[in-house]
Amino acid sequence: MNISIQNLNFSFSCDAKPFFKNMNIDFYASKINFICGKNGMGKSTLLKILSGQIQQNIQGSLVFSGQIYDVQKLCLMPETVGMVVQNFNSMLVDSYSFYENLQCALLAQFPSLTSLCVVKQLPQFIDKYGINFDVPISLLSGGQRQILAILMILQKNPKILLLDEPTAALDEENAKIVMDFLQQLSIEQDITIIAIVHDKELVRQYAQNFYSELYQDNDIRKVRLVQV
Amino acid sequence: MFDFFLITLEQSMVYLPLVLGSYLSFSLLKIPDLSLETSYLIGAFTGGLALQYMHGNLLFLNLIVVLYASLIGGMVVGLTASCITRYGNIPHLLSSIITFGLFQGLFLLCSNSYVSLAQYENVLMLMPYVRQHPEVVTLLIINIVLIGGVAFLLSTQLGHSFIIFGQNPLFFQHFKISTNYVFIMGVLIAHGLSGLAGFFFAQTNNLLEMNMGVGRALFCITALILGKSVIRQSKNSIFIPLVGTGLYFFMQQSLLKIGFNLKYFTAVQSVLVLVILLTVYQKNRIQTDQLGV
Repeated sequence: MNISIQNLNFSFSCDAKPFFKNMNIDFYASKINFICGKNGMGKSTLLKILSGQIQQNIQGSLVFSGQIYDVQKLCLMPETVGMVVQNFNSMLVDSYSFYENLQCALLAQFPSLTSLCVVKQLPQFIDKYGINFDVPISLLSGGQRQILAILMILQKNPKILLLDEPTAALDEENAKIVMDFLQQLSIEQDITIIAIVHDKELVRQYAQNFYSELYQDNDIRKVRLVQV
Repeated sequence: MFDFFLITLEQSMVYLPLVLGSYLSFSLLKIPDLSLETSYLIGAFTGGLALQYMHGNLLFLNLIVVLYASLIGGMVVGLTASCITRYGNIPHLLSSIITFGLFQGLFLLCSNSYVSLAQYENVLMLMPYVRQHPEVVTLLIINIVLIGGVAFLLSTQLGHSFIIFGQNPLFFQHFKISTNYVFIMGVLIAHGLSGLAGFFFAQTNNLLEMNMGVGRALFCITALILGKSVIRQSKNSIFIPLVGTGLYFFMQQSLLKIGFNLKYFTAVQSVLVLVILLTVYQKNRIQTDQLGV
């Protein structure tokens, strides 16, 4: 394990009770790491902290590749962490093709009169998912659209990929396609994946020995490692 | 017949910048941008003002200055409306109405309701090669440059961001792209074009008046719906405003030729829009948004 969150403290406002208190979580690098837990345990909040979307009332550090980062400043390192939200359709442009969507992911913060950027080379194993790259993506399946959303985030070369319930909107078949894709991605692209998944069956199938479970103990959220 | 063609062309060239602007805001950004009517007036006003100041100079120089002035006049309206929308968190339709009131008042403060441009040199007569229609060549050249510019814009990152905004405004926050910037730039360019059209109208009529922008939104919607019903492709295309504008004026001139009274033309436009929406759009399952364009 070489990615860890140490002494994470967070509350929703200055005078509110702590939501996370001295929480420590470890993750496997270059593997899929699952976070499970009941609703309200703070799974999505944890991902928002890691992606830099929450910057106030937090303390703690992220240890990654031997370096220590302040969790308050994670928003300043978008190249390190990328996040695919639960409603991944809000990341896509339906009338554009697969490639055009990938190009759009590379738009500058202030788009100018320059042409669209060249897409980073896609992983070789993408071929086996039968994606038609030329049609508008509104014609693609849910699983293929989720794969596109992931690849769009990967265009900026993040080292850690956060996924908030990537299979929630998908049927069983598409969920397996996406999980299979993520597994290949972590192996071949050396990316650490942290995913919130509710489906215990999928977790058992794809987890590396353990998964993290958030739970509540005396009003304080804690985390434990559960063996698969 | 040749004269009929020239009148249609000239009319199309006067209004094309407005339809190009409305294409950016109505069709691509998908916003109910009624303040285009205000920028049409203010563009004409600032262009007219520049015309007065530049009177007596070289005609080519006048043309350049006047075009810039009308472009900037329109852009100021666009900047006001878009900033009210984004930074005031006000729906754009309401911002448009507020902007209309603000600039209508400003116009009356600075000018009379009617301003004649007849005593100044007509900058559109820079190339009076066609005797009956001395403005048509200049208008044609300016519009060719504008069409090329808009076509180029749509191929760039900025142009694509306008298209994305219209389809999925949430897209930008996932990729840390400034939504405010995209919106304001889109509205700014659209209004600049509208201001230019306002000046073309004022110059070709030698007159600018307070209500000259009223009803232009319906004209833009009609032209865009006409264009979209002919260019039946799901992707955005610069040909939609081009074909739409041409068809609109072809239809208008044809009605004039058969003796139709143009005071009823607004009603004809509304009926035409309704018929197209109920027939061509539904038959071909063309998706309609709140403006149908």
